[in-house]
Order: sequence, then C-alpha cells, then structure tokens
Amino acid sequence: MASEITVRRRKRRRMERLWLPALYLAPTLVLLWAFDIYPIFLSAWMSLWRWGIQPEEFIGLDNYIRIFEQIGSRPGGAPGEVGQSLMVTGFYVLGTVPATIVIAFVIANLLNSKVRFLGALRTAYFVPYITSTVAAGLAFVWLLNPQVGVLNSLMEWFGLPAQQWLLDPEPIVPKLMGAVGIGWPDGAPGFLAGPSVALVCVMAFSVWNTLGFAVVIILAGLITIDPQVKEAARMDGVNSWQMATRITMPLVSPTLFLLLVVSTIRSFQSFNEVYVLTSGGGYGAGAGSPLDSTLTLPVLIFRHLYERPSSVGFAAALSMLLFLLLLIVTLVQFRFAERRVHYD
Amino acid sequence: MALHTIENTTGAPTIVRSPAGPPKKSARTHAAQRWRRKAGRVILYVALIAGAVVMLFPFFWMISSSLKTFQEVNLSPPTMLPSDPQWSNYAEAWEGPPSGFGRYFLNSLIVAVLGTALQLVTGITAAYAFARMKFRFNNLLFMVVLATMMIPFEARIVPNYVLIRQIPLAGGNDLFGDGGSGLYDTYAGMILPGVAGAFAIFLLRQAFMAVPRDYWDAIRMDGASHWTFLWRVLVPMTMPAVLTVVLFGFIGRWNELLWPLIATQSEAIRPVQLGLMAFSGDEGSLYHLLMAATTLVAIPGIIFFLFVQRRFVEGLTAFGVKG
Amino acid sequence: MSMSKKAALPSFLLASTLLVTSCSGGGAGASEDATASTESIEGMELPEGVEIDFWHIQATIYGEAITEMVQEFNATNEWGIVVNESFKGSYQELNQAVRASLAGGGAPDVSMAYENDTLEYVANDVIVPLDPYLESEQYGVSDEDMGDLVDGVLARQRVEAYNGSTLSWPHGNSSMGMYYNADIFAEAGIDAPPADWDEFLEQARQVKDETGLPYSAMGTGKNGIYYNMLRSKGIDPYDPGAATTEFTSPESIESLELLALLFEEELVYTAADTEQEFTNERTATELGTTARTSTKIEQIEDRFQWSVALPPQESAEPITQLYGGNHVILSSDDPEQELASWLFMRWFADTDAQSIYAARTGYSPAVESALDTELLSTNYEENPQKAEAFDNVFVNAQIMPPTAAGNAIDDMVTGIVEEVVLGRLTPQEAAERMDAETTSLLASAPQN
Repeated sequence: MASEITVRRRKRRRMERLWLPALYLAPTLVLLWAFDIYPIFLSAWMSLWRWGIQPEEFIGLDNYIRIFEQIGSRPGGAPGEVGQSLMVTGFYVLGTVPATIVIAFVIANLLNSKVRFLGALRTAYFVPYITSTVAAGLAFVWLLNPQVGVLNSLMEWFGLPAQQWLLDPEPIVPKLMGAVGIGWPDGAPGFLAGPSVALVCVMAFSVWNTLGFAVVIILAGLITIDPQVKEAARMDGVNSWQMATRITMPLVSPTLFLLLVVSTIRSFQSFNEVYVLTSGGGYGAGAGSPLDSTLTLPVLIFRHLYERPSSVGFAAALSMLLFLLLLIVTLVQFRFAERRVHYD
Repeated sequence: MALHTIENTTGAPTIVRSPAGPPKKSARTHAAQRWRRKAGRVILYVALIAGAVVMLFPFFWMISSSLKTFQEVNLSPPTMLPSDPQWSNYAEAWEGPPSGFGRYFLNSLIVAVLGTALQLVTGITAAYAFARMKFRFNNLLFMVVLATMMIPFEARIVPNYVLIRQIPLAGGNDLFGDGGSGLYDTYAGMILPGVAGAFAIFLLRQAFMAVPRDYWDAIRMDGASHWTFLWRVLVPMTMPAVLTVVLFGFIGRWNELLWPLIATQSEAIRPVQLGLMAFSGDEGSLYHLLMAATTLVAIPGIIFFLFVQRRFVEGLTAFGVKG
Repeated sequence: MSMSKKAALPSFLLASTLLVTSCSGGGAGASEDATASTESIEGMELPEGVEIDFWHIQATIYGEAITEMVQEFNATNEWGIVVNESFKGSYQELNQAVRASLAGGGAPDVSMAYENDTLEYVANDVIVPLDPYLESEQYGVSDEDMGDLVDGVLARQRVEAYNGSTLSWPHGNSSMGMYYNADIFAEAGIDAPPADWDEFLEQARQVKDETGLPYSAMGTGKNGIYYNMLRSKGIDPYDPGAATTEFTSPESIESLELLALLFEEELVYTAADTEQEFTNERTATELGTTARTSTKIEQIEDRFQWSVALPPQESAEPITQLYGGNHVILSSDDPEQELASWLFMRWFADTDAQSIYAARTGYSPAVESALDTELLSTNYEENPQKAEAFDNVFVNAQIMPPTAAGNAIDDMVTGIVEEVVLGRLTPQEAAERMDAETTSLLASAPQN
C-alpha cells in the first residue's frame, strides 16, 4: 500500500517535472520563436549576403570584414562610421543608464514616503513616459533653440555664453576645459574628449523621458518592502542615508538589477530620441547630425537599411554586432550581480 | 551559466544587513531631531515640486501649443500661453485623420486590452516556471528569453511581416500559408508579435522569486497545485509587479507605431498613433493640430496610470500580505 | 528538458520553410518575361472595377489633396478602376513596407519612389517599364501632352541610369528657391535678389551693416546649397556614369571659400529650422524648397513683404535643384492590374489632378496646362508667391544625376561642408577629401 502511494507520487512528481514547465512555457516559447528568435537567425543568414531587396550574392564574412574596416579611420583621420557609432553608443549608454537609475532611486524613495498630493506627484513624474516622444522632442528642440530657446536665455542670465546645443558637434570635455582656461592637449585620443554637446542634449532628453519608467519599477519594489522592517530600523536610530543604502537598497536589489539590465538594453537600442531631436536639419541632414556626433549604432543600422543601396546584408551584420554586444554586456551584468543581488 | 546562484533560497523575510548600532539619545538631540525632520520635510516638498515642474514642462508646452493658431504656433520666440485659445483645434484634430479619431481610439483600445491581457497570462505562467519550477535548462532558457530583448527591432520587421502573411488557413490562405493575405491587415496580426514579452517575464520572475518559499511549502501541505498557488497566492502577493506589467504593456501597445503601420493597410483598423501621423509629414507639420491630437491620445495613458498607482497600494493591503 | 524541443519543433519547421521562401526571393515577383509590350497593351480591354493599391507618404494638406484626387479619379475614370490609397508614413517607413511586401507578398501596384529607390527596384526586376504604355495609341501620352510636361520633371522619369527606359511618372515636385524678405531688403537699400554669388556676398555684408541682421540661415545639411552653387556655375559635382567628380575644380573651391567666409563673418548662421528663422524675420533670406511657399503664406500673413526668386546663377543656363518623388508600378504579373496602374498614374500627372495638387499644396504642377485651369489660376492670383515659385524657380529645376551611391555621397558631403563652415578644414583639404571619397563610393556602388 504505502509503497504504491510512493510510486504514484514519484510518478506524479516526474510528470510534473517534465510536463508542467513545458505547459507553462509553451505559449511564450512558441511566440518568441516565431517573432523574435527566428528573425535573428534569419538576420545572421542575411548578414552573409550582399542583400538589397532580394539576396544578390553570397559573400561569406565580407560584411563583418567591412565592419572591422569601418571601425578604423577614414581618409581624413576621423574614425569610420562603425567606429564612430560604437563610440557614440558607448557614451550614450554610460551617460544615461547610471544617471537614470540613481535619480529614479532617489525620487522613488521620496515618493514612497508619506507626502501630500502623492498621486499627483507620482503622475507628474510618470507623464513624460506617456507623452509621445515626438511631442516631447518638439518641446525640447524649442527649449534648446540657439536663437530663441529658453536655455540660452538662462545662460545669458547667469552671464554664460550662449550655446548651439543640438547643432554643436564639438566634444564637451575640451569645451569645459577651455571654459576654465585649460587647453586640450594635442594628440590626446579622441574618445577622451567625450560626447558632443549635441549628444549630451540628446542624453539629457533620454534621461528625462525614461525617468518615469524607472521610478515606477523601483516604486513597485519599494512598496513590497515590509514597513515594519523600516520602522524597526528607525527605532534603532538609523538615519536616512543609512536607511537608503543599508536597508532599502539591498531589499530592492532584485528590482534595481532588473532595471539595470533592461535600461542598458534599451539604451543600446535607442533610436527614436536621436531621430526626433537631430534629424530636423532639412535636406540631406539625416539622423546622427551634426557630423555624425549623435550616430548611435541603431541609427547607423537604419541608415544602411534604408538609405544605402544593397546594404541590407550589411545592416543585418550590424544588427548581429549590436545583438552580440548586448549579450556580452548582459552576461557580464549577471555575473557581477550574482554576488550583490539579494532575493527574499 | 551564472544564473543558478541567484535563484531563490528559503528563509523568512529578514533585514539583510544589520544597520549601524543605535546612538545614545538625549532630550536635546531629540528636539534638534524634530526640528531637523521638519526642515527635511520642507526640502523634500521643494525638491519634489521643482522636479515635477521640470518633468511636466513639455506636457504643459504641448497643451499650450495645442490651443494656438497655425500662425502663433510657428512664432519664434514663442508665446508661453496662447493669446486666444483655439478650443476648436481639438474638434478639428478629432475629425482630422481619414477615419476620424473615434475609430482609432476603439482600435487602439482593442489592441491594447487584448494584447496586454495575453501578455499578462503568458508572462505569468512563463515567469512562474522560471522562478519556481526545477527543470533542466531552466537558466539557459531564461537567458534565451532575455536575449530576445536584445534583438534589434529592425531585424524583426520583415520576417514578422512574412510570417503574418503566411499564417495557414487565415485570410484566405491554404494549409501551407499561400494564396491569401494571412493575418495582414487584421487585429490579430497587429497583436500577436508583441504578446510574448521578455521584459514582463523578467519582471514577474524577479517578483515571484522574492516571495519566501515558506508560502509554497505551507500550501503544498494542503495539497494545492502549482496552478492554485500561482493565481491565489503568488499573483496577489506580487500585485505591484503584476500591475507594472499591465501598465507598461498597455502603454507600450498604445504607443506602438511602426509595426501597425507595416502590418495594416485600411484606415478602419489602424490605431491612434497612425492617426497622429495625419498631422505631420515629410512636407511639413501642422503642429497645433498635432499637439491637440497628441494631448487627446495621451489622456487614456494618464487615466490608466492614476488607476494603477492607486491599486499599487490597495492590492497589497486587500490581501493582507506584506513581502 | 524535453519541452523545449517539443514546442520548438513545429515552429522550427514553419520557420525553415519561411527561410527558404524568403531567401529564394519567392514573393518578389520577378517578371522579366511578363513585361508588357505595346502590342499586347493595344486593344486590351479592362474589365469594370479593377482594384489597385497605391502607397504614398503624404500627410497633412498633401494627404488630403491625395484623398481628394483619388476620389475624383475613382468617381470619373471611364474604366471603373478603384484606387485604394494607403498612407505609409515617412519615406523610410514606406520603403520598409515595400521591402517587406516584396519579400512576403502584398506589394502595392503603385508606389511613390525616388530615383535612388527606383534604381534599386529595377536592379531587382520589380519595376514595370512605362515605355510600352507611353507609346500605345489607345492608352499612351500624345506628343502634345508630352510637351506639356515641365522639362525637368519629364527628364527625371528617364534619366541616363535607366538606360533609355522610362521607369517612373510624376507625383508632385518642388525646387530650391531663394526666399527673401523685401522689407529687410528695402531697409538695407537692396532692390532685387542677387543675380550671382558675388552679389550674394555683397548683399549679405550690406544687410549686416545696415540692419544688423544675418543674411541667411542654413540647416545642418548644407550639401544641397553647395550643390546648387556648383551647378549654377555650370558644372555637376559628380558624374556617376563616368565615375568622375568636380569637387576639386576652381568653381568648387570658390564655392567652399564663399561658404566659409559667410560663416566666418557671421553673415549666415546654422539653425535647426530655417523656415522659422525666415518667417520670424530674423534673417533676410532663406534657400529652401518651394514646397513651403504655401505654409509661408499662411504663417507670414501681412507681417512683411516677401517673394521667392531663383538662387544666384553664373552660367548661361539657369538651373536649381528639383525635389519630390515619382510614381512607379511594381509588377504584379497581372497585365490588367498593371494597365490600370498606368492609367491612374497617367491621370495623376495630367492637368486636372496636378491643378488640384498644386492648388491645395505647395507643390508646383508637373504640366504647364494646369496653370490655365480655373482652379489653379485663381489660386495663383490669390497667392502670387506660388506663381512666382513656378515662373522664377520651378521651370529651371533639374535633379542631380541619380546613382545608387547618392545618399552615401550626400551624407559624406554634408559632413565635410560642415567641417569647412566650422573652420576645421580648409576648402582645399575638403575638396580633396570629397573627391577621394566620392570616387571610391562611385566605384563600389552597384552598377545597373
């Protein structure tokens, strides 16, 4: 009797181990295969071709060789399109992700305390995320207008020189150094000069635009924290700084980790912000202007996909590059996070 | 794969690290503390409100522009407020696009509600399997799911279009997907590609993993199944995460632009974002109408957020559970 | 775990078949042999109610005009053809939709296309050449009607790179004109827009001295203005057929020096939206597309006197940039669909439709006879600047010779001209770089 029950239970358990996860995962995996995973395989295949509207010629790894060639310099000494876009993407990710998460963490903490008009305040911080990028972008373009924008009026008011903002391809570091009277050393590597003023403006827009997303994610994590834990800590005389860093941070670390991973991925893929803010320059000035100083990798992919002949294969190779970069970055994040993220 | 180490471990909810030891208190420090707390409050409000003003400015700008005439909206330097508010812009914008905005709103609502519901259900079950079930390749599969977030959007458009058109037995297609137009120009075609969302699964998995294993052990004793545990215990306990998925799912759907543009042709089923495009083109834009229409289109998202952020807290207290 | 295999297998099979079909270019409908000849078209009877899909990029008043025109065609055409128009977003989005449809089926019968796209489409055998239709007695275009087309507009439908074929038919066109604020001109003591580029510089200094205002605003894409300078001096920047360039010619160096000087002396500045600078009276002139004449009329109202002139010229043959798109027929292997498409396209480029288009929007009509229609003549009387845009500017407009490398060259030139304007490169250095890069881009571009 008893052994029969054990056998049946063991059988049931094995069934569960086999079939239950399969059942729970099936819809997701089927859909992901059809709409996401299969396309990336197709992309990998296309990247081996010269491909316009149809496959034109099988060229093996030539597209990848072209990527490497275009990392290097152009005739004038500037980096090639791919090299430039990798640098711009690097600046962009490093400039937006940490800033967004830190600011969002502070705001979410403030919004999680007992304040009046909580609903209204939370909504205020979330509204930019809902507002269409185009509408918000137009408002920003005007704020940053070199001739009549509000920002230049403010600069003037503070006695600072007016700037070209979104139209300025000059890198920011030499500019800031120049402002305090230090010259930029000749022959210093280009990437040390930092992002262009135009790119910094786009990054600021991006932080503003995605802040609401990050705040809501963190809030959802904060709300789940047992208030008694905090109360107990407060009784022990923990100050706000300690509360944030020693209590809250570890407790929401799974959320923060998720946010880090997701924000990094999104930041690497950012296209809309760049497109809306920097392609308004009239005929011939596509996204990425001025002087390709806002040319992120997705913008370069876009350029090759639609504005270059028979470049679909090359665009696919660039997509693979972006995909692999993201895969590596995410794996590194997981590896580093495993020791720091606390579940439970 | 590095993932196994951050899997859920058992244990009751505890403070992870003990804070610095309690300082000694005296009456004087007590008064000083109270004063400091008050000052802190003021600073808090000032900071929060200043931040909110910065965040809201472009939205204010959008509404202000939506009430200007064509001439005024192109003035530069611009006027802060419309000199003579043109409420008729809203009526004009509503009637502007070929099918009228009413139809676009209905279409978007259908796509957003169905799309979000499907994403939620598939996301919850998948996240549960990843967070709570032991099977081989769990971590590997999860990484694969996560990797789908990294696929550039541009790489998906054409394959998705081909697939949608070749779905067998739909839209006049035969068993092999030939002959008809498949799910092209249908709601289903618009909805399907976005249903499986790695972000939703990731978020829910993190939330599910944070729930102590004790709950499962307890309910398991009563003979409950995974299904019951998931829907009766886990989902209510992780309401903020579930609502976050719903919120972002809805807003993501509502703001979708490129895929519906490619996947549809008739104005009768197109969503609001395509309606907005009627006001801006390669040969110039009608900013005043664009802004009026954009404001209208943003309203459902804001209402939805207000609703969700209230439920954030209520959902938790209603079930009497605290993480 | 077995589930992954089980779930993946059917979809893998499905996907593999897709891979095969999409890689063999299955849906692309290559139809070299199905190409219609004049004989097969002659005498072909169209059944009542042939439906065709038409994809375009036009929104705002342009989209409304198209809707109006399509309705008019659907209501009045003698064959009962029904055109279903569909707005497909920006130019890149349309391009994306067309590519997807060529891979997966459902391509439109008529689509808008620029010359560069047409070149790529024709290389993939998806374009129906129009010559058999043009030559047809029954469905063709008479010599008289051919003569009615504005020269530059007709020329762009049969450019050299098409190897003697006519591959597209007019949609809507505009050109690069020089807008000027007559009030600021009067204040500075200038009575007419500049005839050549020396006078351009002279006037720029004069306006700065007399009024303190800059003479002109330019966008971040200055390649168009630079090209216009070169062409007004009688040379083409590059020749795709011979793979040669004129970037290092004296005329080119001269043009780059002028641009550098204009910015150095702060007579001209870079702005995000040059139209806004002009309509808000912050600059005396603007070099821009004449398509914006209608919106300028609305924005400026009576605030100041203004007009549009041909940009400065320095050779016997006046010339300026021609803008806008064309229509092409994407082959459907169905002669009736293709004939119906042609009949719609022919109508679209003819007097009635073009007069509607030109009256409702800022485009200039493709045919001169549209000017005689009541609709357009009334409209031009009420909006004299639109008439000036046609008479002064549009009739002189020609496109640059198209090449598959065109966009890449434009981007490169845009960048280098910007560096000249910023003072990072001397005109000579810039010219040499443009020459080297263009030569290699032209050499590596796919030949048709």
